[in-house]
Amino acid sequence: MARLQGQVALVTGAAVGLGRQYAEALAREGCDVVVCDIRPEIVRVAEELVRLGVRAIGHVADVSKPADVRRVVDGALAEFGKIDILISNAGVWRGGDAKDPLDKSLQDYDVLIGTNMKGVFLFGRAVIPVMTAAGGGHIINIATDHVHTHPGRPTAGGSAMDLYDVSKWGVLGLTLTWAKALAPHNIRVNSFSMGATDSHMLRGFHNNAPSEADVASWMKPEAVCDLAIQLIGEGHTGRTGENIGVWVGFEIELKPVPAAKPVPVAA
Amino acid sequence: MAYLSGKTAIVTGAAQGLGRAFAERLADEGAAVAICDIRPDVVAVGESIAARGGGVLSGVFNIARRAACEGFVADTAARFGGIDILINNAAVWRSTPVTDPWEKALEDFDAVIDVNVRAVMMMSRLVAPHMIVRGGGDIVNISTDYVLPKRREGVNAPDTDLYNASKWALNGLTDAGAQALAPHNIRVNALAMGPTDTEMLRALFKPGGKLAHLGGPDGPPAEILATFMDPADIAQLLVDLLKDGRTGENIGVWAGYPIELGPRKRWDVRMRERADFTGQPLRDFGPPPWTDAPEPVEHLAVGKPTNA
Ligand SMILES: NC(=O)c1ccc[n+]([C@@H]2O[C@H](COP(=O)([O-])OP(=O)(O)OC[C@H]3O[C@@H](n4cnc5c(N)ncnc54)[C@H](O)[C@@H]3O)[C@@H](O)[C@H]2O)c1
Ligand SMILES: NC(=O)c1ccc[n+]([C@@H]2O[C@H](COP(=O)([O-])OP(=O)(O)OC[C@H]3O[C@@H](n4cnc5c(N)ncnc54)[C@H](O)[C@@H]3O)[C@@H](O)[C@H]2O)c1
Repeated sequence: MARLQGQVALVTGAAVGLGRQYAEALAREGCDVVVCDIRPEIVRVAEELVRLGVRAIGHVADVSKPADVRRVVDGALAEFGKIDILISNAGVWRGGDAKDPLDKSLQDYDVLIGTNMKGVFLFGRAVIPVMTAAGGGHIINIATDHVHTHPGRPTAGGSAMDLYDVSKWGVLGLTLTWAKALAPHNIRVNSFSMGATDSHMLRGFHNNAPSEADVASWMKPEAVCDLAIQLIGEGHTGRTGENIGVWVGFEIELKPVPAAKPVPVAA
Repeated sequence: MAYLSGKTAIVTGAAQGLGRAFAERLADEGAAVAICDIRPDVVAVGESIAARGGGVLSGVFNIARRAACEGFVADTAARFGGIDILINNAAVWRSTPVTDPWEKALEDFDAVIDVNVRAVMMMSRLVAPHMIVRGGGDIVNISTDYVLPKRREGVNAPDTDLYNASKWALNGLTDAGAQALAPHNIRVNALAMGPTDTEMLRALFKPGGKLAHLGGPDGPPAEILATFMDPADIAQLLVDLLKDGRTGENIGVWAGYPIELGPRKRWDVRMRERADFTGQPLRDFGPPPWTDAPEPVEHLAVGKPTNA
């Protein structure tokens, strides 16, 4: 039973990894899907989505390029007339730390902040007017558990991912702000802060030959995708502005929404 | 002998507001200060500090420009023989409602993020080698209490997504930077404060500002002004922080609460866990290399991540 029949979803970075899995999960739930990626195989991914019985379009597009973002969003509107769901998933990883020479750091900055933070900003800003006009929508931005660690673990991905972390903290700032700005418009904005999940990227860290033990220690993309479907399935009255921790070794679930906290009074 | 004599501090965005207060206070503590701003009046600030007897270098340039940052850092090191402290204070605040037109959104992203994030990264990268040869140093990123919402509801104002995101993004530089530079005795912290009486804040209450309906031509009325913190008190906190020796923390400074460092948030535990995680060797941080630094306070708080 498709839970999201007739909705239109846009997933960025959907050629491989988690993005592709979100796109498939959404298609299985009955969504028409727009996908984009810098990898040309995104076109074939769209063809495969069509085999799941939905409509799908694939764009070769770079999420950090405003003109590409416009092409994807305007193309989606021309084809489907609306966008109900946005998963801003496209992301890249590079190591680097505070002792790096500026040349390297500026290159890393362009790639990491450009894709992970500016890409989220651009897609959000392009899609928000569409959702506002339609009276609602859901945005899920993908962060990392470095910005929302499981209990007992300090924040950050160690000493050597500072610009990756910068980009993902930025994503969190956008998420929290948009949730607040868009609540009156029935648009929910949440983020996922997840730990190691089986993906193209993660396998790449292990020279594309991870051990069975490695793979067994990772979360399964299906579980993360199912969480996304549940989150969207909460509907217009569901949670918003939550940075949802998805952690290895913990239950992958939506916690009950905490009751509104009383406003603390200044001492 | 003054506490920071022989030390050199760079303060960005020091023509007015908090940056000016930081520069003046560091100079009072004996540091030579290198101050910069895009506003030419930073030169007058430098002259007034020099008149009080301190070593000063003033630079008028856009902090988003790489070559200018490189030149200023090199000039500072050449003039004063080294760099010990960097206060990443320069920032822009812009109203960026999500309903803005596309073209404005594109321009806003670069205008805000290039200054509030990219320039902080550039300056931090540029000073790190100088601090390493000095055997230690301090980087302080100026953030906002938006990133520590636990004491103030209503933060992360809905019409400033980019400003908010820029300050959240600084957590990445503070957290990871503290860890990467710990072996070199360089501390990286952030001051995350609420409303402080500066030109940036007053401008919001003047005609055309987003809170103009609450203010007038001179800015906010007295009853609102009374709720703002005094930049001089924040500058005192900065000095306390330099003396304290902690690292990797966001120091929350909330209007209406005491302006104090508070207990250390167990950075050492955070470091240790992190060191285990990455397999890096541990190093005891100890007190800062300043002469009259107090013994570090034993970690008192429970190990809650600063930025959770
Ligand atoms: N896998 C994990 O363990 C993990 C953990 C935390 C967060 N994440 C985040 O989840 C998201 C997906 O990661 P993944 O592990 O599936 O990675 P992946 O590398 O397997 O997939 C990312 C996809 O994004 C695409 N992409 C990269 N740059 C792009 C650009 N500029 N424009 C368009 N597409 C672009 C890539 O081509 C790729 O198809 C990322 O945002 C990542 O940071 C992943
Ligand atoms: N005042 C507050 O209530 C408050 C609260 C939280 C955080 N902050 C932060 O404190 C810091 C100082 O803020 P303030 O209130 O003193 O603001 P301010 O506007 O009075 O001062 C900021 C200074 O930075 C300079 N600057 C801006 N862009 C620059 C550029 N491209 N190159 C060089 N210099 C540039 C400005 O010219 C100005 O002199 C900022 O990082 C701000 O985000 C202020």
